[in-house]
Amino acid sequence: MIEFKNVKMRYKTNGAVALDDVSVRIDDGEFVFIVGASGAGKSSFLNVIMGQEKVDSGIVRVGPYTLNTIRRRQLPYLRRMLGIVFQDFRLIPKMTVYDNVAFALRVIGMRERKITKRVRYVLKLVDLSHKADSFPHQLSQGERQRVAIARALINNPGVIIADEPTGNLDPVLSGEIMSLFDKINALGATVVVVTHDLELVHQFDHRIVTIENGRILSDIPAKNAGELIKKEEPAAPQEEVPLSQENEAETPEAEVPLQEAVKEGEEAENA
Amino acid sequence: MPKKEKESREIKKQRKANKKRGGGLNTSYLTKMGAHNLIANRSMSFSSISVLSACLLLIGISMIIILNIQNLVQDVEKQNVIIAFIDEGADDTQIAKVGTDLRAVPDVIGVEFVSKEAAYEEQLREFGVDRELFESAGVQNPLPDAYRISVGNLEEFNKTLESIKAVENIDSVRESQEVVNQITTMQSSITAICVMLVAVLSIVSIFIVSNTIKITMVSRKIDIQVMKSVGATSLFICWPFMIEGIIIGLISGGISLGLTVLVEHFEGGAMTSLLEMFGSTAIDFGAYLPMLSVAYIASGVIISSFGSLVSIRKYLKREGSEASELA
Repeated sequence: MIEFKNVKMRYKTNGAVALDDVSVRIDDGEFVFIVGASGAGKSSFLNVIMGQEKVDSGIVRVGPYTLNTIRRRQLPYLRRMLGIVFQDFRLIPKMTVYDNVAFALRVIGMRERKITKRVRYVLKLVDLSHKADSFPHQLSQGERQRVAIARALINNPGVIIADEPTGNLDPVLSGEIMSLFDKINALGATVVVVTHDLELVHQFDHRIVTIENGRILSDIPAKNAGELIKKEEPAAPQEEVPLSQENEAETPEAEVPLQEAVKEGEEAENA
Repeated sequence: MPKKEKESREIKKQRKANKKRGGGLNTSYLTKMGAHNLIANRSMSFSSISVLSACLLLIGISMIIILNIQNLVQDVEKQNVIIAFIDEGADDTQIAKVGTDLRAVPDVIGVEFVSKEAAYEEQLREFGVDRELFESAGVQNPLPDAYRISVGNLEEFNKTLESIKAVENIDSVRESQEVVNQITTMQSSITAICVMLVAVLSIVSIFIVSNTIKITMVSRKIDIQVMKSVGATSLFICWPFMIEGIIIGLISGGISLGLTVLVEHFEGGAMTSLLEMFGSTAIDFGAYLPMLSVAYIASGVIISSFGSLVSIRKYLKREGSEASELA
């Protein structure tokens, strides 16, 4: 469970407001999209969850930890509960796919025999077993992101946090990655995805929290988000869509059904 | 309160689960990682080793110079004997009392009585002259009874000399104060220069090693961020860098020790002849070699790992910068 209660935070560098009276609760097993324009406060929201930034006021709870009072030495244990996926993948270039994924387990001191078993399983889950001995520079962008997801998953964390995971990917690969997150969520993990790709968000029936200028502008539950998508299909009325109409107009690929897109992507990759 | 208790219970549960999943620190993996990093960043490692070896070599040579000077001073101290001549009229009891009084003077480390007869014999032997020849020429023994006094602390020489002169029944004193003054001045200035050199070189070495490791760290910033994001503890992050520092220190210590042996072998003669000018000898390098080896390796490892620690510390504390990169 992740909980923000009246959280306020300013950027340390320039004093600008990053989060302004944010209150939100994400329950175990939920899939939540955090959307908003660049600089809206989405990444600050994630940084607070990861214990990289401290808030000025309010209360933040992640699992058993209250982040306002968390000690520096407790941070590694907090992060072991989270699987973090970055936009730029953050893979270690000198390590193979296997070692990049195994690394998260070596950090916690797991024995090599156990590591081998788990890494094999997770690489299979993200469909990268055949690339175990490859280095990151030998992989496509989509494959790199899947390695990053495998690394986030390997520790069996309760929460997966992804910061713009599709930022460097084309629409087909983005859909593929999102489907993978869906699969992970179905396996029981809480998934929090930060993105500005509204088109992609609207392809799924998940809760959508919109942040603007550090404030929560809207919080649409999964059920309503599904309805929102259905309504959008014929001619989405402007007042019912809390998100920028301008962005949607620029994304005709949204009409391509996800499964087809993923299939196309896989075929393209195999070719 | 119950909420807090519940929270800490859950954290404990979490830790237990962590322990169950993993265990302690995988030291063999981390050590391998440190050694691997050393090879992967070979150009940086090479420059660290070169600079550290050069600094250690200079530190070692300075130490050898200090040891030789200490040896020289000790030799001079041994040679530096004050001769205190006793009044002609003093009887045996008074002569014995002079001996007792002299032994009581601070910094006097040895007092030896030399009778006028023994001194005369010695002089004649030194000049290579036959005693009978002197006696036949009517020359009488001109030397008085005397005490030969060794002084321990040359820095307090003047004070000791005054105390000796003040002893009753001492007629006159013969000493080589000028030589003593020169030696003590030389000892203190050379020691000061060498100590300064050692200090400066140590700081320079730490600075250079920490800078080198800092550069390798910039290139491994992503590795450190990844380590943090997957929940690595500070010890886990530090370990490979410390191992790298220790290996650099060990190699540098070995190289500089080898170079010192070579320098001693080819240039040690110059030092020996210089010391012989002052009537001393060079220290036995072989006897000091085990001590030097330990000192070289230990200082290499200490300087290098301290350098590593200085540069890692900053990166371990940095949480906000990661955040700004993400934003």
